[in-house]
Amino acid sequence: MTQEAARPDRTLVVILSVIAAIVVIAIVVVFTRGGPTDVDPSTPEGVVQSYSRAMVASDFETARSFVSAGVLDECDEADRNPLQGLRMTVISTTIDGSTAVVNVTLEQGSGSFGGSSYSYDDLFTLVEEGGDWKISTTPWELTYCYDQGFRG
Amino acid sequence: MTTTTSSPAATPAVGGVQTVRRFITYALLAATVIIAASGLSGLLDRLFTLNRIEVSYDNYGLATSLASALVAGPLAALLWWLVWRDGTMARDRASILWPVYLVVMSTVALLVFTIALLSWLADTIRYGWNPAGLAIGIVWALVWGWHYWMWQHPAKGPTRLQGAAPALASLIGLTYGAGGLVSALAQLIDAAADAGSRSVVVSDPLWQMVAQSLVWAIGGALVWRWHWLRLGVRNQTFGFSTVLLVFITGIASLAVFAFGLIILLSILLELATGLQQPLATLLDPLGTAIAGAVVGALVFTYHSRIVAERSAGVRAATSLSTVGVSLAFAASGFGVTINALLATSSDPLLAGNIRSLLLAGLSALVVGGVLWWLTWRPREASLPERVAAPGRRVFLVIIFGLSALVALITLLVIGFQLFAFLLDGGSGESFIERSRQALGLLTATGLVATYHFMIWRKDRASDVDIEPAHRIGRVTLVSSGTNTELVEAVRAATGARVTVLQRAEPVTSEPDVAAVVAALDEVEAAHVLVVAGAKGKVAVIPLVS
Repeated sequence: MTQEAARPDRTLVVILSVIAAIVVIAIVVVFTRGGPTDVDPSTPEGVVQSYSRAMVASDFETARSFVSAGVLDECDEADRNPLQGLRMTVISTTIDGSTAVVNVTLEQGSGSFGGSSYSYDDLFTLVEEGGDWKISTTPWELTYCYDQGFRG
Repeated sequence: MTTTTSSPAATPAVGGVQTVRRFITYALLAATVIIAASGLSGLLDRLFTLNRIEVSYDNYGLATSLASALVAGPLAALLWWLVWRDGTMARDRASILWPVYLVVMSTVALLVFTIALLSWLADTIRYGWNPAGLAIGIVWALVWGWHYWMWQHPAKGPTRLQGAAPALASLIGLTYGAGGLVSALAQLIDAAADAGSRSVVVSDPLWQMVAQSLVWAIGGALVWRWHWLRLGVRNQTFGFSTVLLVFITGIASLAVFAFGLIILLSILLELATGLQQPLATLLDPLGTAIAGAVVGALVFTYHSRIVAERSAGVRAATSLSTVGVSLAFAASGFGVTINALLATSSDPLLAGNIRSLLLAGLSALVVGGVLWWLTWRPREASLPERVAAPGRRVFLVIIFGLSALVALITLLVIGFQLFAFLLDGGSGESFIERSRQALGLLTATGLVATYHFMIWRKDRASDVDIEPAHRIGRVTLVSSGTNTELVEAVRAATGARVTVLQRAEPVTSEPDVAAVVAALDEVEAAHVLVVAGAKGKVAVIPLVS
């Protein structure tokens, strides 16, 4: 009885092996995987990616170049806050003539223990200006203009 | 032991309409005391700050304080006189409502007066002498002292819930003390880290911030020491104090220690694998992490020594609590690791900080895993003495219950995301992306439940007697005195709840502990009356309930 009980448990060995395997795979995958793929900048998703990257990098001049002229005309520039650990995934994109809506999931603060602090769905709207897609409205964290071009 | 002395003439309190009367009286007394104390502290505050230049005289505020003090004050005095009369106290002393009132009011008074006084002292260090705010501390200290005096009164102090108020007070003191120490240490370490990383820091002088935290540490230590050593909470074996001891040792201090270590390890791992965020941001929690680990270890070590002197039940409960806390950290860490792994399956527009997430998860897995290995000792988990340890089955059932709860919640989240994804007809990656936290936790919970189910099956298959069978639910023991050794022995032998009824007139040569325990052998009943009689006679009478 004692001998049998003292023998290392097979279930425990299996569970520990599964954990070890997942840990090794996670380390290898996370550390060897490069950054996000560049999306074609002529598509609405590509514009959203370029604009968001510029905002996260605090490169506001570049970000401004992606904002629609109509919004910039009435722009009340937003206060700039550093954005760290912002993750954004596209859920869907709808193009309707000269307007497009990019639906995204945003996740903020994934660096802290226990996973993301919060994540939510939001959308970018874009308009076509001179053959290029330009940002019209954005989720609040990536806002360039407070009023997003709405005239008071 | 506590210095509380109870008179032998403590008869059970009469219920019925008397219970309703007591409830209303104590509720009214509590309300009037609180209102009167707030009124008095308002008036005293004005007295202390007479020289202040008033921009507005705030007549309404003064009227409120006057009304509170002059209307509620006399009413509180009248109610207290009604409660405290010899006739009323003779009826109420053994009622549960009397100690409940005292526990609630002395805890509230202690919290208000210590928070007010310690904040005032901390502010004085920063801004210099200012009597505003001191009044609340003084008035509530008096309220606390008054209730403490009633609690300790030899003829009128409560006969039930002994030790509850001092035990709670010692916990409050320990929380302030440990919290203040963590904060003071954290500020010192952060200042050193700032100096090392040459950050530009705009803040108050370091000595001032450390002194402010030390005010809380010293104030808390005094409150704790007074209750823990002077009033003897340390040696109490009442149920409430024992639960508190297990909570402090097995759960709270270990959790603080482990959390500090996890944060520290994740910072070190990030430094070792290359920075993903600015150094100042990464080092932000460094001070709190180190201080938390150090103070958590200190509190844990001190209380572990006290637990070591206690009964086998208390030791087992503490040890299983430490296993549970370690397991929770390890499982969460594994869940976060899977979460980070799944995050790589989608192709986001912005990557976020998945590497930090993975390192945080790995830190929790390593720290929790090592602690679990040391506390649970899985290689010896099915040895006969471990299988027979008290509380083992309860521990396993709690693990199954919590696993089921986590599984239910995560499955609901996954189900919702799956249906939302199917109904929206969105892209394939958004389902995993949105459910990865829940999937991680569900996998970790599944592994935890599987392992413990295997342990459960093995326990059942073994020929070891799993915990003594509880044949008796309650024992009412009639004896000449409150013999703690006898009560403990009956409790250990039967697992029953033991109530002692003390004889008004002691008898000579009562039976010894072994005789009483032997008389209960093989008895099976929901409630048993045991009369320890003269000349070593024991009468055991099974009751209906």
